[in-house]
Amino acid sequence: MSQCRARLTEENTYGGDTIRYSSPAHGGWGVVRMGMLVPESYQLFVCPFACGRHGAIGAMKQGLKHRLSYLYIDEADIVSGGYEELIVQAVDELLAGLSFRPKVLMIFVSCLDDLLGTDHQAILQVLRQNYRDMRFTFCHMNPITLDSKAPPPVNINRKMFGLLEPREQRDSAENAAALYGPNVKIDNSSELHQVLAAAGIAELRHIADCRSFAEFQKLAGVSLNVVTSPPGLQAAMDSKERLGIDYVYLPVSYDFQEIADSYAALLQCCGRQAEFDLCPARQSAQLAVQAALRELGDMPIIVDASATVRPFTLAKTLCQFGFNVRTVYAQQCIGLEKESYRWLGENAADVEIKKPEHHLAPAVRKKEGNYLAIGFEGAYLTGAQHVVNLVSDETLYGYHGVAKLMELMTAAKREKRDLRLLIKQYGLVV
Amino acid sequence: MIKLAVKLPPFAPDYSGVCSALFELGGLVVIHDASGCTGNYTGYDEPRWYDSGAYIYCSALREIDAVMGNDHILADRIQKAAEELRPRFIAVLGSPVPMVIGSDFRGMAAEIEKKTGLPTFGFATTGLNYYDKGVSEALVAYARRFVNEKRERKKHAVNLLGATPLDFGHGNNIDGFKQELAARGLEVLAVFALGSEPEELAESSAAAVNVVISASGYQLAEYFQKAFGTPYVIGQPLGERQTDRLCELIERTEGADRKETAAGQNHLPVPVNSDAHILLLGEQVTMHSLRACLSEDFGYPGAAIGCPFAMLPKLTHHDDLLLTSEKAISSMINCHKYTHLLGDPFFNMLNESGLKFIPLAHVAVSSKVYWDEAPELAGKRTIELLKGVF
Repeated sequence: MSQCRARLTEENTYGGDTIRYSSPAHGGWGVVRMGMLVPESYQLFVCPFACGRHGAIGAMKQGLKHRLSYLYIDEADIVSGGYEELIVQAVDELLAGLSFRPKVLMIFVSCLDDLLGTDHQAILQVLRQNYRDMRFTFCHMNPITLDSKAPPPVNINRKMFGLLEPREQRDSAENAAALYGPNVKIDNSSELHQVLAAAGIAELRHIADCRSFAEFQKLAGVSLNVVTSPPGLQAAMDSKERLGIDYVYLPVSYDFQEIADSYAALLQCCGRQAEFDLCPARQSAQLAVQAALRELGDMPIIVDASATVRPFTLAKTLCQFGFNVRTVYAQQCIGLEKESYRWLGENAADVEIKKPEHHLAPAVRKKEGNYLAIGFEGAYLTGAQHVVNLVSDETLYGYHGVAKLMELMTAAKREKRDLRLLIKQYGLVV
Repeated sequence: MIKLAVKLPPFAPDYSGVCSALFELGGLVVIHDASGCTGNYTGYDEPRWYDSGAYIYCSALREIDAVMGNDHILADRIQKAAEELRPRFIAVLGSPVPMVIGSDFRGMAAEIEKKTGLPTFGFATTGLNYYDKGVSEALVAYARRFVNEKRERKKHAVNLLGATPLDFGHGNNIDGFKQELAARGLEVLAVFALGSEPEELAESSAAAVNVVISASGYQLAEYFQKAFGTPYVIGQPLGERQTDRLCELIERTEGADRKETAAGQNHLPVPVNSDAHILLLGEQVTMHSLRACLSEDFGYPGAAIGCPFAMLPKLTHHDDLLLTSEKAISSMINCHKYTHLLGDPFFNMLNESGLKFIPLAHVAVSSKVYWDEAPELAGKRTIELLKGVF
């Protein structure tokens, strides 16, 4: 990364670390909302009370609080080692007081637990004996692991899909695939669904579509798992090992060649030759790009990592399309993005690369700017008046995703947006 | 099990209180945590965060740093940031993990102060105490450092102690308080710490009397009394007659000697009524002031107070309760003694007895869910809030 030639700014110190700024546009779904995707599940957080505030208020705003409770631990519990016993007692009291019986209880622990060595297995053993009609699992809300190989988004995906139980027989008649990674399903109009159909897969199921725990369990009967976002990859690897379901990793991209390569890999994985005609989808995307270019002209564009897991690839692609990319905001460059980061350094020296959490970010922030920002955080930091309301690539995939993004950019150019309202409506959780 | 919270969310923690108290004072404030604690404060306990240029940061504590005890790395990072940002002071705060690994915040502060030459505070906040403790500690620490010159006493001049949005929202409550006092001949010199410039705070020792407007301001009042001999009263100017009486008390206190104020003559007494059927649930000084307003302006004596936060013994009646758990809050609401409940809208989730509910949003409880709906209370606005209810 130190070889990057993209314009280094005073906020950009990729070589070192610093104290972190948390802008009002920082955040995403958070592990509470992600875990709530498991139908008929309930969450019990076991932590110092402070750790639970953002998740609880977020759940209030999202109408999920009725499936979330807290067991507060204090210094005495930690020191005395009474922590483990408390959990069993709390589960008894919680379940006795609920007006319904959840199918799953997800017990969340916080950063603190990583340092305590709590015996989760012993607790699970007791709970499973006491409540044979329920499943129990320990989950982690531990941003202290953010720089590790198993940060919270990866971990919660593993825990969610870890609730799938092996099936004696695969339901081959259904011939479906399951989507791992994104928190919301991919737009039904994406050509991904047609490519899957051409590969003999009639349906791409997403956890958010499952209305019951029994329906969720059908994800264990699919013939293939499709991973389009990095946080789902490890969970798919687990499912291959535990459930025998193969997976294909096709990370979301806005680069036409990468999209073509992904579809070729998908067809190959399904044992089909590349027979699907992608030209119409590709042409639609190209037309949308041209229309967006006409609309935006030279308007400076800000790309940030809150909008896409591929900020450098999106910036690279937009540059190649002919857009005027001004800045990329990303706190880190994941492995998947290193090539695009390098490309920007070698081919787009005018593109600034900044860390949104750098300590200088609030000092140099502009409150108003004639920019188009793809993502909330870049919009906040630059004061962009035109904002593409996109978080974590939600619903976008393939050529259709490119076309839809172009439509969003065009719409954003035509109308100034109230960023504060957009953030509020989305309900970002740190 | 008293530690189980099924319906209510966790309330604002101590580190949010420290940050909130220092927010407007030009400091560089760093919470030593992974990210969630800082997010709690910036996202859920600070209505002023959007569009602000305040320097509140996260240390980005990681597992390896916790295990290895790399607190010196944080000191280096803070030094680097301080050199570029040039804050008036620095504060470094704890969270649950530093509590477990035994981070020494006083030591860290001393090291940072030595490196930067800037006044530096260390707060061993843990996330195991509520916001009021953090506000209290921050205000006292700030005053000890920056209000250290005894000034000539100014007649009819007061300070308001214990003001943060966590208790008073981000509306105009403090401005309303100032107007009510001004209408009765009292000038507010400084508000700790909402809406006053650091220079105004530095000159606050000239006040004749301090007015403690939340329990968070109590320790600061004690500090002022010890350091400068400034007497204090406890209460908010809510209602009309109650505000009159509070201002009379301030005037009396201005002329009183230290023994009188120490003897407990520094708040408005309210007749005790064990048959009271009104329950006031929330921050104690606010609720006590409402209780006094009910007594003075409505002729209703002795409403009971339930408080999940710090309680000052001086204000506590025998029917008042410190509520340390959701179960305790629920039990008090549903004890079949009360007909009316006034408090944050979240408390109404526990109202299974059909008590008539009067909402009074409290940021430290319901955060952004209701912080745009926090009512203004100064003077007759309280009467408007309660009129038609009692």
